[in-house]
Amino acid sequence: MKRLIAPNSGPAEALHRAVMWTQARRLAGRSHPRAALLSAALQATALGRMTAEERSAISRVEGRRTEIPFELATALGEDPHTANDPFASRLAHAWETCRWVSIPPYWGRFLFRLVRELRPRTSLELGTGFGLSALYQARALELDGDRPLTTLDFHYAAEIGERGFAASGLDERVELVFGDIDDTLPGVLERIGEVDYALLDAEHSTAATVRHFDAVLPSLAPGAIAVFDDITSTPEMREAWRLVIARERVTLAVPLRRFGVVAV
Amino acid sequence: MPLAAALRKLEPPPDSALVAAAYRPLILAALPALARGEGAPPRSLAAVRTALWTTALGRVPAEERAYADLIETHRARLAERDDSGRAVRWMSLPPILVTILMRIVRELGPRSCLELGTGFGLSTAHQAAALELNGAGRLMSLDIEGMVELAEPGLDDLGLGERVELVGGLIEETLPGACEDAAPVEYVLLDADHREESTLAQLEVILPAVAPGAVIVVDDVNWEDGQMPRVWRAIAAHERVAASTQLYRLGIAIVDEGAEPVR
Repeated sequence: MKRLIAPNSGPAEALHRAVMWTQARRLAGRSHPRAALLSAALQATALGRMTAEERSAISRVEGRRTEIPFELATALGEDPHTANDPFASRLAHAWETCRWVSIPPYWGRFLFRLVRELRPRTSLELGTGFGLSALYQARALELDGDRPLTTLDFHYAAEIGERGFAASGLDERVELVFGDIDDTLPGVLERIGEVDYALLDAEHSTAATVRHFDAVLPSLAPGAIAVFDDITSTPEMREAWRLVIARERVTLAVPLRRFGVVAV
Repeated sequence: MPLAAALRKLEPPPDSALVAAAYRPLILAALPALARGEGAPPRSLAAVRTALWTTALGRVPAEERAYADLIETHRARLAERDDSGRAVRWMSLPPILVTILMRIVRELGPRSCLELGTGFGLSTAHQAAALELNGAGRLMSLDIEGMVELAEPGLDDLGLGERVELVGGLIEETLPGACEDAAPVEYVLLDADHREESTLAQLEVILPAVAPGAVIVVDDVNWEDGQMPRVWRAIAAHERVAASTQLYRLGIAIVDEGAEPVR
Protein backbone atom coordinates (compact mmCIF):
# COMPACT_ATOMS: atom_id res chain seq x y z
CA MET A 1 0.00 0.00 0.00
CA LYS A 2 2.78 2.35 0.99
CA ARG A 3 4.41 1.75 -2.39
CA LEU A 4 1.18 2.44 -4.27
CA ILE A 5 0.63 5.82 -2.63
CA ALA A 6 4.27 6.97 -2.68
CA PRO A 7 4.40 10.25 -4.63
CA ASN A 8 6.60 8.75 -7.34
CA SER A 9 4.44 5.66 -7.89
CA GLY A 10 2.39 4.94 -11.00
CA PRO A 11 -1.04 5.29 -9.34
CA ALA A 12 -0.09 8.67 -7.80
CA GLU A 13 1.12 9.90 -11.18
CA ALA A 14 -2.04 8.71 -12.96
CA LEU A 15 -4.24 10.43 -10.37
CA HIS A 16 -2.40 13.74 -10.57
CA ARG A 17 -2.24 13.75 -14.35
CA ALA A 18 -6.01 13.23 -14.37
CA VAL A 19 -6.35 16.21 -12.00
CA MET A 20 -4.13 18.29 -14.31
CA TRP A 21 -6.27 17.33 -17.30
CA THR A 22 -9.55 18.19 -15.53
CA GLN A 23 -8.27 21.58 -14.41
CA ALA A 24 -6.87 22.30 -17.87
CA ARG A 25 -10.34 21.75 -19.35
CA ARG A 26 -11.93 23.92 -16.68
CA LEU A 27 -9.40 26.74 -17.22
CA ALA A 28 -9.91 26.69 -20.98
CA GLY A 29 -13.29 28.34 -20.47
CA ARG A 30 -12.03 31.08 -18.13
CA SER A 31 -11.41 34.63 -19.33
CA HIS A 32 -8.56 35.38 -16.90
CA PRO A 33 -5.47 36.63 -18.82
CA ARG A 34 -3.36 33.75 -17.43
CA ALA A 35 -5.99 31.02 -17.81
CA ALA A 36 -4.99 30.02 -21.34
CA LEU A 37 -1.30 29.76 -20.47
CA LEU A 38 -1.96 27.66 -17.36
CA SER A 39 -4.40 25.47 -19.23
CA ALA A 40 -1.83 24.81 -21.95
CA ALA A 41 0.87 23.92 -19.39
CA LEU A 42 -1.46 21.56 -17.52
CA GLN A 43 -2.72 19.88 -20.64
CA ALA A 44 0.75 19.32 -22.10
CA THR A 45 1.94 17.80 -18.79
CA ALA A 46 -1.16 15.63 -18.41
CA LEU A 47 -0.71 14.24 -21.92
CA GLY A 48 3.08 14.00 -21.68
CA ARG A 49 3.69 16.20 -24.73
CA MET A 50 7.32 17.21 -25.10
CA THR A 51 9.76 18.08 -27.85
CA ALA A 52 12.99 16.10 -28.25
CA GLU A 53 14.93 19.07 -26.85
CA GLU A 54 12.71 19.21 -23.77
CA ARG A 55 12.89 15.46 -23.29
CA SER A 56 16.67 15.67 -23.25
CA ALA A 57 16.61 18.54 -20.71
CA ILE A 58 14.24 16.57 -18.46
CA SER A 59 16.31 13.39 -18.71
CA ARG A 60 19.33 15.31 -17.43
CA VAL A 61 17.35 16.36 -14.35
CA GLU A 62 16.22 12.78 -13.85
CA GLY A 63 19.85 11.71 -14.07
CA ARG A 64 20.70 14.12 -11.28
CA ARG A 65 17.84 12.67 -9.21
CA THR A 66 19.57 9.30 -9.07
CA GLU A 67 22.76 10.81 -7.63
CA ILE A 68 21.09 12.55 -4.68
CA PRO A 69 20.59 9.48 -2.43
CA PHE A 70 24.35 8.82 -2.62
CA GLU A 71 25.23 12.36 -1.58
CA LEU A 72 22.66 12.22 1.20
CA ALA A 73 24.06 8.87 2.39
CA THR A 74 27.52 10.46 2.51
CA ALA A 75 26.11 13.44 4.44
CA LEU A 76 24.46 11.03 6.90
CA GLY A 77 27.90 9.56 7.49
CA GLU A 78 28.89 12.88 9.05
CA ASP A 79 25.75 13.05 11.19
CA PRO A 80 26.49 11.80 14.75
CA HIS A 81 23.17 9.90 14.87
CA THR A 82 23.86 7.84 11.78
CA ALA A 83 27.65 7.94 11.44
CA ASN A 84 28.04 4.38 12.75
CA ASP A 85 25.46 2.82 10.42
CA PRO A 86 26.86 0.80 7.53
CA PHE A 87 26.82 2.54 4.14
CA ALA A 88 24.11 0.18 2.82
CA SER A 89 21.62 1.16 5.53
CA ARG A 90 22.40 4.87 5.19
CA LEU A 91 21.83 4.57 1.45
CA ALA A 92 18.56 2.71 1.98
CA HIS A 93 17.41 5.45 4.36
CA ALA A 94 18.51 8.18 1.92
CA TRP A 95 16.72 6.52 -1.00
CA GLU A 96 13.47 6.17 0.96
CA THR A 97 13.75 9.79 2.13
CA CYS A 98 14.24 11.11 -1.41
CA ARG A 99 11.33 9.03 -2.64
CA TRP A 100 9.01 10.83 -0.26
CA VAL A 101 10.40 14.37 -0.10
CA SER A 102 11.78 15.02 -3.58
CA ILE A 103 9.44 16.43 -6.21
CA PRO A 104 7.98 13.55 -8.28
CA PRO A 105 8.92 13.53 -12.00
CA TYR A 106 5.43 14.46 -13.25
CA TRP A 107 5.26 17.54 -10.99
CA GLY A 108 8.76 18.48 -12.09
CA ARG A 109 7.61 18.29 -15.70
CA PHE A 110 4.68 20.56 -14.82
CA LEU A 111 7.00 23.22 -13.34
CA PHE A 112 9.25 22.84 -16.37
CA ARG A 113 6.30 23.28 -18.74
CA LEU A 114 4.90 26.22 -16.78
CA VAL A 115 8.21 28.08 -16.79
CA ARG A 116 8.60 27.42 -20.51
CA GLU A 117 5.12 28.83 -21.23
CA LEU A 118 5.50 31.80 -18.89
CA ARG A 119 9.09 32.79 -19.78
CA PRO A 120 9.50 34.72 -16.50
CA ARG A 121 12.14 37.46 -16.40
CA THR A 122 12.69 36.80 -12.70
CA SER A 123 11.99 33.56 -10.83
CA LEU A 124 12.04 32.99 -7.12
CA GLU A 125 11.96 29.74 -5.18
CA LEU A 126 11.50 29.46 -1.43
CA GLY A 127 12.72 26.08 -0.19
CA THR A 128 15.55 24.60 -2.26
CA GLY A 129 15.60 21.17 -0.64
CA PHE A 130 17.82 18.88 -2.69
CA GLY A 131 17.56 21.31 -5.59
CA LEU A 132 15.54 19.12 -7.96
CA SER A 133 12.61 21.49 -8.56
CA ALA A 134 15.14 24.31 -9.09
CA LEU A 135 16.81 22.16 -11.75
CA TYR A 136 13.53 21.57 -13.63
CA GLN A 137 12.87 25.31 -13.61
CA ALA A 138 16.43 26.25 -14.49
CA ARG A 139 16.48 23.79 -17.42
CA ALA A 140 13.29 25.43 -18.71
CA LEU A 141 14.84 28.90 -18.32
CA GLU A 142 17.96 27.67 -20.10
CA LEU A 143 15.94 26.80 -23.23
CA ASP A 144 14.54 30.33 -23.42
CA GLY A 145 17.54 32.57 -22.89
CA ASP A 146 19.64 33.73 -20.00
CA ARG A 147 17.11 34.44 -17.26
CA PRO A 148 18.04 33.63 -13.69
CA LEU A 149 16.43 31.76 -10.80
CA THR A 150 16.96 32.72 -7.17
CA THR A 151 16.34 30.01 -4.59
CA LEU A 152 16.31 30.43 -0.80
CA ASP A 153 16.81 27.87 1.95
CA PHE A 154 18.45 27.38 5.32
CA HIS A 155 18.43 23.59 5.38
CA TYR A 156 21.60 21.47 5.09
CA ALA A 157 19.95 19.69 2.14
CA ALA A 158 20.52 22.85 0.08
CA GLU A 159 24.25 22.06 0.08
CA ILE A 160 23.41 18.92 -1.89
CA GLY A 161 21.25 21.13 -4.12
CA GLU A 162 24.12 23.52 -4.68
CA ARG A 163 26.45 20.69 -5.71
CA GLY A 164 23.77 19.62 -8.18
CA PHE A 165 23.62 23.09 -9.76
CA ALA A 166 27.39 23.05 -10.23
CA ALA A 167 27.40 19.48 -11.58
CA SER A 168 24.64 20.40 -14.03
CA GLY A 169 26.50 23.49 -15.22
CA LEU A 170 23.68 25.70 -13.95
CA ASP A 171 25.48 27.42 -11.08
CA GLU A 172 25.61 30.67 -13.07
CA ARG A 173 21.87 30.61 -13.66
CA VAL A 174 20.70 29.48 -10.22
CA GLU A 175 21.61 31.63 -7.26
CA LEU A 176 21.26 29.93 -3.88
CA VAL A 177 20.76 32.30 -0.95
CA PHE A 178 21.55 30.33 2.18
CA GLY A 179 19.97 31.40 5.47
CA ASP A 180 16.69 31.88 7.33
CA ILE A 181 14.18 32.89 4.64
CA ASP A 182 12.58 35.56 6.88
CA ASP A 183 16.00 37.25 7.08
CA THR A 184 17.13 36.81 3.49
CA LEU A 185 13.84 37.34 1.58
CA PRO A 186 13.51 41.16 1.95
CA GLY A 187 17.04 41.75 0.64
CA VAL A 188 16.52 39.34 -2.26
CA LEU A 189 13.22 40.98 -3.24
CA GLU A 190 14.80 44.43 -3.12
CA ARG A 191 17.61 43.25 -5.35
CA ILE A 192 15.62 41.41 -8.02
CA GLY A 193 12.70 43.86 -8.16
CA GLU A 194 9.56 42.54 -9.85
CA VAL A 195 8.96 38.80 -9.63
CA ASP A 196 7.25 37.03 -12.54
CA TYR A 197 7.23 33.53 -11.12
CA ALA A 198 7.51 32.15 -7.59
CA LEU A 199 7.47 28.64 -6.09
CA LEU A 200 6.69 28.57 -2.38
CA ASP A 201 7.85 25.29 -0.84
CA ALA A 202 9.55 26.27 2.41
CA GLU A 203 8.29 25.70 5.97
CA HIS A 204 4.95 23.87 5.79
CA SER A 205 3.05 25.84 8.45
CA THR A 206 0.12 28.22 8.03
CA ALA A 207 1.98 31.14 9.57
CA ALA A 208 5.20 30.76 7.58
CA THR A 209 3.49 30.08 4.24
CA VAL A 210 1.19 33.10 4.54
CA ARG A 211 4.02 35.27 5.86
CA HIS A 212 6.25 34.33 2.91
CA PHE A 213 3.45 34.92 0.40
CA ASP A 214 2.57 38.29 1.93
CA ALA A 215 6.23 39.28 1.71
CA VAL A 216 6.46 38.28 -1.96
CA LEU A 217 3.02 39.59 -2.98
CA PRO A 218 3.89 43.31 -3.33
CA SER A 219 6.82 42.37 -5.59
CA LEU A 220 4.75 40.12 -7.88
CA ALA A 221 4.47 41.71 -11.34
CA PRO A 222 1.02 41.99 -12.93
CA GLY A 223 0.25 38.58 -14.42
CA ALA A 224 2.79 36.82 -12.21
CA ILE A 225 2.21 33.20 -11.20
CA ALA A 226 2.92 31.71 -7.78
CA VAL A 227 2.97 27.95 -7.15
CA PHE A 228 2.50 26.31 -3.73
CA ASP A 229 3.55 22.76 -2.92
CA ASP A 230 1.71 20.38 -0.57
CA ILE A 231 -1.43 22.50 -0.19
CA THR A 232 -3.42 19.51 1.04
CA SER A 233 -0.75 17.61 2.95
CA THR A 234 -1.76 18.88 6.43
CA PRO A 235 -4.62 20.89 7.98
CA GLU A 236 -2.12 23.73 8.45
CA MET A 237 -1.35 23.82 4.74
CA ARG A 238 -5.03 23.61 3.79
CA GLU A 239 -5.62 26.65 6.02
CA ALA A 240 -2.64 28.45 4.44
CA TRP A 241 -4.08 27.82 0.95
CA ARG A 242 -7.49 29.20 2.02
CA LEU A 243 -5.81 32.35 3.33
CA VAL A 244 -3.62 32.76 0.25
CA ILE A 245 -6.49 32.56 -2.26
CA ALA A 246 -8.50 35.06 -0.19
CA ARG A 247 -5.88 37.77 -0.75
CA GLU A 248 -7.26 40.67 -2.77
CA ARG A 249 -4.60 40.63 -5.50
CA VAL A 250 -5.09 36.92 -6.17
CA THR A 251 -7.46 36.75 -9.16
CA LEU A 252 -7.04 33.13 -10.21
CA ALA A 253 -6.56 30.08 -7.97
CA VAL A 254 -6.13 26.56 -9.32
CA PRO A 255 -5.88 23.74 -6.77
CA LEU A 256 -4.26 20.63 -8.25
CA ARG A 257 -4.63 18.30 -5.25
CA ARG A 258 -0.98 18.51 -4.24
CA PHE A 259 0.15 21.73 -5.91
CA GLY A 260 -1.78 24.99 -5.96
CA VAL A 261 -1.28 27.72 -8.55
CA VAL A 262 -2.36 31.34 -8.16
CA ALA A 263 -2.11 34.25 -10.58
CA VAL A 264 -2.25 37.95 -9.79
CA MET B 1 6.92 -22.16 -22.64
CA PRO B 2 4.16 -20.21 -24.51
CA LEU B 3 5.00 -16.88 -22.83
CA ALA B 4 8.63 -17.13 -23.89
CA ALA B 5 7.59 -18.09 -27.41
CA ALA B 6 5.22 -15.14 -27.63
CA LEU B 7 7.94 -12.83 -26.35
CA ARG B 8 10.35 -14.03 -29.02
CA LYS B 9 7.81 -13.47 -31.78
CA LEU B 10 7.02 -9.97 -30.56
CA GLU B 11 10.67 -8.97 -30.06
CA PRO B 12 10.19 -5.90 -27.89
CA PRO B 13 13.49 -4.22 -26.92
CA PRO B 14 14.95 -6.10 -23.94
CA ASP B 15 14.96 -2.96 -21.79
CA SER B 16 11.22 -2.29 -22.24
CA ALA B 17 8.65 -2.48 -19.44
CA LEU B 18 6.86 -5.25 -21.35
CA VAL B 19 9.89 -7.50 -21.10
CA ALA B 20 10.24 -6.78 -17.38
CA ALA B 21 6.57 -7.68 -16.81
CA ALA B 22 6.89 -10.86 -18.87
CA TYR B 23 9.99 -11.93 -16.94
CA ARG B 24 8.35 -11.90 -13.51
CA PRO B 25 6.33 -15.12 -13.96
CA LEU B 26 9.32 -16.72 -15.73
CA ILE B 27 11.48 -15.96 -12.70
CA LEU B 28 8.96 -17.52 -10.34
CA ALA B 29 8.68 -20.53 -12.66
CA ALA B 30 12.45 -21.05 -12.30
CA LEU B 31 12.17 -21.48 -8.52
CA PRO B 32 10.92 -25.09 -8.15
CA ALA B 33 14.04 -26.46 -9.86
CA LEU B 34 16.04 -25.05 -6.94
CA ALA B 35 13.77 -26.49 -4.23
CA ARG B 36 16.19 -29.32 -3.59
CA GLY B 37 19.68 -29.77 -4.88
CA GLU B 38 21.47 -32.95 -3.93
CA GLY B 39 24.94 -31.98 -2.84
CA ALA B 40 24.41 -28.25 -3.35
CA PRO B 41 25.23 -26.20 -0.27
CA PRO B 42 21.93 -25.01 1.27
CA ARG B 43 23.41 -21.53 1.71
CA SER B 44 23.96 -21.04 -2.02
CA LEU B 45 20.58 -22.54 -2.89
CA ALA B 46 18.84 -20.23 -0.44
CA ALA B 47 20.75 -17.19 -1.73
CA VAL B 48 19.70 -17.81 -5.34
CA ARG B 49 16.12 -18.63 -4.37
CA THR B 50 15.81 -15.44 -2.31
CA ALA B 51 17.37 -13.40 -5.11
CA LEU B 52 14.85 -14.77 -7.60
CA TRP B 53 11.64 -14.35 -5.63
CA THR B 54 12.52 -10.90 -4.30
CA THR B 55 13.20 -9.74 -7.86
CA ALA B 56 10.03 -11.32 -9.24
CA LEU B 57 7.83 -9.76 -6.55
CA GLY B 58 9.57 -6.37 -6.59
CA ARG B 59 10.94 -6.74 -3.05
CA VAL B 60 14.35 -5.30 -3.86
CA PRO B 61 15.96 -3.47 -0.89
CA ALA B 62 16.07 0.34 -1.08
CA GLU B 63 19.88 0.57 -1.15
CA GLU B 64 19.98 -1.69 -4.21
CA ARG B 65 17.29 0.39 -5.89
CA ALA B 66 19.41 3.46 -5.31
CA TYR B 67 22.30 1.84 -7.19
CA ALA B 68 20.01 0.41 -9.86
CA ASP B 69 18.59 3.91 -10.50
CA LEU B 70 22.09 5.35 -10.77
CA ILE B 71 23.27 2.64 -13.16
CA GLU B 72 20.10 2.93 -15.25
CA THR B 73 20.89 6.63 -15.68
CA HIS B 74 24.27 5.53 -16.97
CA ARG B 75 22.54 3.06 -19.32
CA ALA B 76 20.30 5.87 -20.62
CA ARG B 77 23.34 8.06 -21.30
CA LEU B 78 25.05 5.26 -23.20
CA ALA B 79 21.85 4.62 -25.17
CA GLU B 80 21.77 8.29 -26.23
CA ARG B 81 25.21 8.03 -27.78
CA ASP B 82 25.36 7.48 -31.53
CA ASP B 83 28.18 4.94 -31.35
CA SER B 84 26.73 2.66 -28.70
CA GLY B 85 23.00 3.43 -28.48
CA ARG B 86 21.49 0.55 -30.43
CA ALA B 87 24.01 -1.95 -29.14
CA VAL B 88 23.32 -1.00 -25.53
CA ARG B 89 19.60 -1.50 -25.96
CA TRP B 90 19.84 -4.88 -27.66
CA MET B 91 23.06 -6.43 -26.37
CA SER B 92 23.18 -5.49 -22.71
CA LEU B 93 21.29 -7.45 -20.11
CA PRO B 94 17.86 -5.85 -19.49
CA PRO B 95 17.21 -4.08 -16.15
CA ILE B 96 15.26 -6.93 -14.57
CA LEU B 97 18.00 -9.47 -15.30
CA VAL B 98 20.80 -7.28 -13.95
CA THR B 99 18.62 -6.87 -10.87
CA ILE B 100 18.71 -10.66 -10.48
CA LEU B 101 22.53 -10.60 -10.76
CA MET B 102 22.77 -7.82 -8.19
CA ARG B 103 20.42 -9.67 -5.86
CA ILE B 104 22.37 -12.95 -6.18
CA VAL B 105 25.67 -11.22 -5.38
CA ARG B 106 24.01 -9.40 -2.49
CA GLU B 107 22.52 -12.60 -1.02
CA LEU B 108 25.54 -14.80 -1.69
CA GLY B 109 28.18 -12.36 -0.42
CA PRO B 110 31.05 -13.70 -2.57
CA ARG B 111 34.61 -12.55 -1.86
CA SER B 112 35.78 -13.21 -5.39
CA CYS B 113 33.75 -12.90 -8.59
CA LEU B 114 34.60 -13.52 -12.20
CA GLU B 115 32.85 -12.15 -15.28
CA LEU B 116 33.59 -13.19 -18.85
CA GLY B 117 32.29 -10.50 -21.20
CA THR B 118 32.37 -6.99 -19.75
CA GLY B 119 30.47 -5.45 -22.67
CA PHE B 120 29.37 -1.92 -21.82
CA GLY B 121 29.93 -2.69 -18.14
CA LEU B 122 26.28 -2.56 -17.06
CA SER B 123 26.11 -6.05 -15.55
CA THR B 124 29.64 -5.41 -14.22
CA ALA B 125 28.36 -2.28 -12.50
CA HIS B 126 25.37 -4.02 -10.91
CA GLN B 127 27.52 -6.84 -9.55
CA ALA B 128 30.17 -4.39 -8.33
CA ALA B 129 27.48 -2.28 -6.65
CA ALA B 130 26.27 -5.38 -4.79
CA LEU B 131 29.85 -6.01 -3.61
CA GLU B 132 30.12 -2.36 -2.54
CA LEU B 133 26.91 -2.71 -0.51
CA ASN B 134 28.19 -5.97 0.98
CA GLY B 135 31.29 -4.03 1.98
CA ALA B 136 33.58 -6.78 0.70
CA GLY B 137 34.54 -8.67 -2.43
CA ARG B 138 36.19 -8.08 -5.78
CA LEU B 139 35.08 -8.67 -9.32
CA MET B 140 37.42 -9.56 -12.14
CA SER B 141 35.93 -8.84 -15.54
CA LEU B 142 37.41 -10.05 -18.83
CA ASP B 143 36.79 -8.82 -22.35
CA ILE B 144 38.68 -7.69 -25.42
CA GLU B 145 40.85 -4.59 -25.04
CA GLY B 146 38.46 -2.18 -26.80
CA MET B 147 35.40 -3.20 -24.80
CA VAL B 148 37.23 -2.91 -21.49
CA GLU B 149 38.43 0.58 -22.39
CA LEU B 150 34.86 1.57 -23.20
CA ALA B 151 33.47 0.27 -19.91
CA GLU B 152 36.17 1.60 -17.60
CA PRO B 153 35.24 5.33 -17.42
CA GLY B 154 31.62 4.43 -16.70
CA LEU B 155 32.57 2.22 -13.76
CA ASP B 156 34.82 4.97 -12.40
CA ASP B 157 32.00 7.56 -12.74
CA LEU B 158 29.71 5.25 -10.77
CA GLY B 159 32.32 5.07 -8.00
CA LEU B 160 32.77 1.32 -8.52
CA GLY B 161 36.23 1.31 -10.09
CA GLU B 162 37.82 0.05 -6.88
CA ARG B 163 35.69 -3.10 -6.77
CA VAL B 164 36.42 -4.16 -10.35
CA GLU B 165 39.57 -5.34 -12.00
CA LEU B 166 39.18 -5.14 -15.76
CA VAL B 167 41.36 -7.48 -17.79
CA GLY B 168 41.62 -6.65 -21.48
CA GLY B 169 42.66 -9.20 -24.13
CA LEU B 170 41.57 -12.42 -25.76
CA ILE B 171 39.80 -14.45 -23.09
CA GLU B 172 41.59 -17.70 -24.05
CA GLU B 173 44.83 -15.95 -23.18
CA THR B 174 43.77 -13.96 -20.10
CA LEU B 175 41.48 -16.52 -18.44
CA PRO B 176 44.05 -18.93 -16.93
CA GLY B 177 45.92 -16.06 -15.24
CA ALA B 178 42.68 -14.45 -14.07
CA CYS B 179 41.47 -17.73 -12.54
CA GLU B 180 44.77 -18.08 -10.74
CA ASP B 181 44.42 -14.56 -9.30
CA ALA B 182 40.73 -14.85 -8.45
CA ALA B 183 40.64 -18.39 -6.97
CA PRO B 184 38.64 -19.49 -5.07
CA VAL B 185 35.89 -17.92 -7.20
CA GLU B 186 32.45 -17.91 -5.60
CA TYR B 187 30.43 -16.30 -8.39
CA VAL B 188 30.82 -16.47 -12.17
CA LEU B 189 28.96 -14.78 -15.03
CA LEU B 190 29.58 -16.40 -18.43
CA ASP B 191 28.64 -13.91 -21.12
CA ALA B 192 31.53 -13.95 -23.59
CA ASP B 193 31.56 -15.16 -27.20
CA HIS B 194 28.53 -17.51 -27.21
CA ARG B 195 30.21 -20.33 -29.16
CA GLU B 196 29.91 -23.91 -27.96
CA GLU B 197 33.52 -24.94 -28.18
CA SER B 198 35.03 -21.86 -26.55
CA THR B 199 32.39 -21.51 -23.85
CA LEU B 200 32.86 -25.13 -22.72
CA ALA B 201 36.63 -24.66 -22.86
CA GLN B 202 36.28 -21.58 -20.63
CA LEU B 203 34.16 -23.58 -18.19
CA GLU B 204 36.85 -26.28 -17.92
CA VAL B 205 39.41 -23.60 -17.03
CA ILE B 206 37.10 -21.95 -14.50
CA LEU B 207 35.74 -25.04 -12.70
CA PRO B 208 39.02 -26.06 -10.96
CA ALA B 209 39.23 -22.51 -9.54
CA VAL B 210 35.71 -22.25 -8.15
CA ALA B 211 34.83 -22.59 -4.49
CA PRO B 212 32.32 -25.21 -3.26
CA GLY B 213 28.80 -23.85 -3.66
CA ALA B 214 29.80 -21.25 -6.23
CA VAL B 215 27.07 -19.82 -8.43
CA ILE B 216 27.61 -19.84 -12.20
CA VAL B 217 25.28 -17.67 -14.28
CA VAL B 218 25.21 -18.09 -18.07
CA ASP B 219 23.61 -15.53 -20.35
CA ASP B 220 21.81 -16.19 -23.67
CA VAL B 221 21.34 -19.91 -23.09
CA ASN B 222 18.36 -19.79 -25.46
CA TRP B 223 20.25 -18.45 -28.49
CA GLU B 224 18.54 -19.90 -31.51
CA ASP B 225 21.58 -21.21 -33.41
CA GLY B 226 21.58 -24.20 -31.05
CA GLN B 227 25.12 -23.73 -29.72
CA MET B 228 24.20 -22.02 -26.45
CA PRO B 229 21.31 -24.38 -25.59
CA ARG B 230 23.79 -27.26 -26.02
CA VAL B 231 26.29 -25.45 -23.82
CA TRP B 232 23.66 -24.96 -21.15
CA ARG B 233 22.58 -28.62 -21.25
CA ALA B 234 26.22 -29.62 -20.86
CA ILE B 235 26.68 -27.29 -17.89
CA ALA B 236 23.45 -28.40 -16.19
CA ALA B 237 24.50 -32.05 -16.63
CA HIS B 238 28.10 -31.44 -15.51
CA GLU B 239 29.19 -33.68 -12.64
CA ARG B 240 30.20 -30.72 -10.50
CA VAL B 241 26.88 -28.89 -10.96
CA ALA B 242 24.52 -29.90 -8.15
CA ALA B 243 21.53 -27.72 -9.00
CA SER B 244 20.49 -25.61 -11.94
CA THR B 245 17.57 -23.65 -13.29
CA GLN B 246 16.81 -21.70 -16.45
CA LEU B 247 14.74 -18.59 -16.81
CA TYR B 248 14.32 -17.81 -20.50
CA ARG B 249 17.76 -16.51 -21.52
CA LEU B 250 19.55 -16.88 -18.17
CA GLY B 251 20.92 -20.14 -16.84
CA ILE B 252 21.88 -20.41 -13.17
CA ALA B 253 23.98 -23.33 -11.91
CA ILE B 254 25.21 -24.10 -8.41
CA VAL B 255 28.47 -26.01 -8.00
CA ASP B 256 28.54 -28.93 -5.53
CA GLU B 257 30.36 -29.03 -2.20
CA GLY B 258 32.83 -31.32 -3.98
CA ALA B 259 36.56 -31.34 -3.72
CA GLU B 260 38.37 -28.20 -2.63
CA PRO B 261 39.75 -26.19 -5.53
CA VAL B 262 43.33 -26.89 -6.44
CA ARG B 263 44.46 -23.51 -5.09
